[in-house]
Amino acid sequence: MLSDEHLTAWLDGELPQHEADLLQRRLAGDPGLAARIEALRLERARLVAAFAALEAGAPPFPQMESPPAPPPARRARLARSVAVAALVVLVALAIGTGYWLGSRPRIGDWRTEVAHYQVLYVPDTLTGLQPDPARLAREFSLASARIGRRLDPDALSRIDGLTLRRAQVLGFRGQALIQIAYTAPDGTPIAFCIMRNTGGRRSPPKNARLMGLASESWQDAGHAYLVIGGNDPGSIAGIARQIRRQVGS
Amino acid sequence: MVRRRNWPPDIYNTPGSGIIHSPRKEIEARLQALWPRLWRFALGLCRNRADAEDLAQATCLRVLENAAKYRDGTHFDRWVLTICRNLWHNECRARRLRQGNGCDCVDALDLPSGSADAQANIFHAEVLSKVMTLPDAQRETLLLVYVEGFTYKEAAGMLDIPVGTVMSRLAAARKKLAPLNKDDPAC
Repeated sequence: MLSDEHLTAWLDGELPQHEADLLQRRLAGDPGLAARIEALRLERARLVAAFAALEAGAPPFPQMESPPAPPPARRARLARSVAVAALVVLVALAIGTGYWLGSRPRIGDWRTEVAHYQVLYVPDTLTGLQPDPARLAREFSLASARIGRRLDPDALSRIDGLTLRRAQVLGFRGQALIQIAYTAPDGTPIAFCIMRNTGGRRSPPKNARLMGLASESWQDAGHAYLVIGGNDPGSIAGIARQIRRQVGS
Repeated sequence: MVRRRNWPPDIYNTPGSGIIHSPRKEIEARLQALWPRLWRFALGLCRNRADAEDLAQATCLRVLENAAKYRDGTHFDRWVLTICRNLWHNECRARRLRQGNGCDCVDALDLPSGSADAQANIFHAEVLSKVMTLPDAQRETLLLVYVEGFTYKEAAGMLDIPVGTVMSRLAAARKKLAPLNKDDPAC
């Protein structure tokens, strides 16, 4: 007795030639076998045509940015640590001399635009939005694809005192702008925003008051980041530090 | 020792050489060419457009992250579709853990109108809706062998199952799809 699997393999041309010939010969004098073959018949061309017809409705190919660079060699890492330490010293000096006031984002800078948007947020905007892991996973997956960098909802939900509420894809001058929204225990809305860094210039953390909101921004080779919300620069600096640890920037 | 700055010649960046220097760029170009097929395969797995688009994008991202692991000359489509299928399995497992049910949100799959005649669209829609009712294991096997054209052995490798399991899934899928033969436009 031939199994359905065997008959299927014959229909699919997957049987060795001698077995296929044998089956072909049996089929001629065995109406029962012919009926079983008929019950397994499938027009592959119809399947192929139906799925091919779907292709016309495919969404556009997403724009991909470079994934994070592979970890540098030990020597390069050491050199980078020295460079980062030097930058930290420079920033400390710059802040100490009031230089940082001159580097405040200009009008038209994306951070200023985010601040204009963020200032409209009140506790009620987000507190009703219950964190749902499935929804967050979908939102983060879309955001990751749009920004060309993996954003992990689990890692980004581990920020002390903050509740992760939502990840949204916004746009600024044709570029994706990701806004990840949190609330502080008192309901204060805090946003962590990311854009691609098209210039590729790195920039150490900088604090600034934008539209009355405390903020900290920085850049690595691939992306520019901003944490904004509330009016306490110390608390925003602490949040930004934790976020940098989680996203590895 | 004097270092010869112009040696070896930089053939990769010679205009018109036809050789793409960056493997990432090449992978991205191949992904773009594969995109409609990748999305279609994702749609067959997820059975709804929102998940399919997310899955196809997540697959592209994962492929680019792993671009260095791709060995030229090996089967790109097989590699990408395997990544896609594995990502979807992980997602379903995670959803089951999080919310107790798997990935069972099914769209009625509308075909793009105007691209084909109405009669053909009706037949296509009938085939698609029947395929989408197949159990996940049968559906993914059928997609790989009958829609994507992989051999039993290739599909078994992609799904990490024995060839015998591929055969039994296809036999079961064929029986379930048999009612389509009754109104076969080709007959």
